[in-house]
Amino acid sequence: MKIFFVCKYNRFRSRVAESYFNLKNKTKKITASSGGVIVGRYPLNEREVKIAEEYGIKITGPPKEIRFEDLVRQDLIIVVANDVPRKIFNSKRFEKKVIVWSIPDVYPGDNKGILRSRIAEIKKRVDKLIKRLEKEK
Amino acid sequence: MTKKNILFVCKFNRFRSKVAEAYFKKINKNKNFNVKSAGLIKGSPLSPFQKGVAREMGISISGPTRGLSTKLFIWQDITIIVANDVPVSIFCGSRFDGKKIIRWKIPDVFNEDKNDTKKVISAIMENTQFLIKQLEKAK
Repeated sequence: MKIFFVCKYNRFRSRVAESYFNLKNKTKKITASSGGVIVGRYPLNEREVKIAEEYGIKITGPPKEIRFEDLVRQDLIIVVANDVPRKIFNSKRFEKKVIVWSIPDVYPGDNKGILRSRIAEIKKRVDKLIKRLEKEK
Repeated sequence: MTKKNILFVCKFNRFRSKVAEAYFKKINKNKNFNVKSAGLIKGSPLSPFQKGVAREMGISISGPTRGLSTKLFIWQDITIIVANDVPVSIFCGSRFDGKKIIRWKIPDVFNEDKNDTKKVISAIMENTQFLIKQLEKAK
């Protein structure tokens, strides 16, 4: 099974989800990757990367775009964003299961508390997802 | 006159935004206007059928498809959504302040029907001609 996490820029939210999923998932048959509707700036925000690291979540490398050829291979698309409309993924060219986790974006001026709460929310959702997938095995 | 960078956007950058970009380049005489195109999702290579129909209408679409990026948004002054399936809300928020967005509600073409394809190309041509007139007026 292939899971694709999406946010707006692939700089934080979908990266946290991807990294945490890969950290916790023990089923080799399930793989996760991520992308952004608009490829965000690189390098990533150092503060965001460091705070994610406190949770064992490593975000490295440049943001990635969403490519049609990748999308058609996915089994499940998870939008980890409240600013990426689900209907982007409604297409006659591919019909995929789409789940939306309505997580707000983070901004350079946001305090650590906001960053931590976003990470905590994403972790909670990923934990639930992994449990559900384990049950469905 | 100041330069204007125009970005045409559709869903996959396989057809609609490519046609707008190519036709704009063909008819525009003003060197201050620069155009590029991109898609919300980087599409698969262009369809030979659509390329052929566009060629019949004097428009040459080619090259790889391109996804959207922050770099492109910094570059552009005007974003034109050449699609009825690309939500404007994607381009809203503090990161896009001061940028102009125009929407042409052009449908995608999913079949290989020549008439349907030509209709879409004609609509894009008409909108592009009007856009150039407006840009020239605003000089």
